[in-house]
Amino acid sequence: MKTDHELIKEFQNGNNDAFNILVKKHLPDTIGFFVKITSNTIEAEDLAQDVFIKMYKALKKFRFASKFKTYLYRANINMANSFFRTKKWKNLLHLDEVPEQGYYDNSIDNKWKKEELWNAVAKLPGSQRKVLTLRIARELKYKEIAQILKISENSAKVNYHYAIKTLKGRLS
Amino acid sequence: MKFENKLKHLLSQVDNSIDSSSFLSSLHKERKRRNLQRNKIINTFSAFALLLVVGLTSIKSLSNEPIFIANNDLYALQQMDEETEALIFNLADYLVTTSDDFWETMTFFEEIQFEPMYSLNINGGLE
Repeated sequence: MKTDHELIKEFQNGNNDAFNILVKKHLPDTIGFFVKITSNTIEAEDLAQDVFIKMYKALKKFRFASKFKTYLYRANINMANSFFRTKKWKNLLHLDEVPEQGYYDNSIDNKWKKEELWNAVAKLPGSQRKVLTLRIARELKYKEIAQILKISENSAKVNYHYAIKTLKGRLS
Repeated sequence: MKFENKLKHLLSQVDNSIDSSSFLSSLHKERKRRNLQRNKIINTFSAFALLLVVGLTSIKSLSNEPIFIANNDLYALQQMDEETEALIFNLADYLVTTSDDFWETMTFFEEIQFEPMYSLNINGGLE
């Protein structure tokens, strides 16, 4: 099986199938991340689609300085961040009071709890929000989070600590 | 259970299975649609910019300012010095007197718009 970098090289040489293989390889992980955040598969698919459309353009200039996975995580977290910003405004304007039901999530009670959680996450400051999302939705280590967000490991830990503290206050 | 674990547990029951082929086909369709839309926007802006330039140029050329009309429609007055003027008159006289066909000479003056001789003819001075 070809590595991510090999596939990217082939894609840069004009092989579009290589891009498709790359997408297929990372799709479940990406969709899973966005499903956790949105609690809605359709919305998650839309966000994943946006990420991969941006990737299609960006990969042509990829310099192989980092792992593709790190690059993809960064794109995912940026997309999640813009999703949270929109969510925050929607909540402020009360446009999102009744969420649509995703077809993977059958438990309405659980859904409401998730909705509540992500509404609270949306209100966190940007850096805390990014660290918390990567930690709880991706279950990444602080070292990996620091690498993705280009911050120090300690900064990641501090941001996570404050994010959890704020969430505890808001959700309990 | 720790708060962090509660959060993780809440998010653990996620089914992320998806039909990758249909996802890919809709991805490429959407990518092409966006490309097309971007190109349309670029073309619209280019056409608008071109129209603006052509419009501004047209408006400028349709200006009613007197100085603009004078520049375009009137010829500048040409002043001759006395010596040249005398020479031209002598030449004209010479042509009239030596010409075999007087009317042909007058037609020639008319063609070159030699005003003094032509006016002389209109007034009936030269026959």
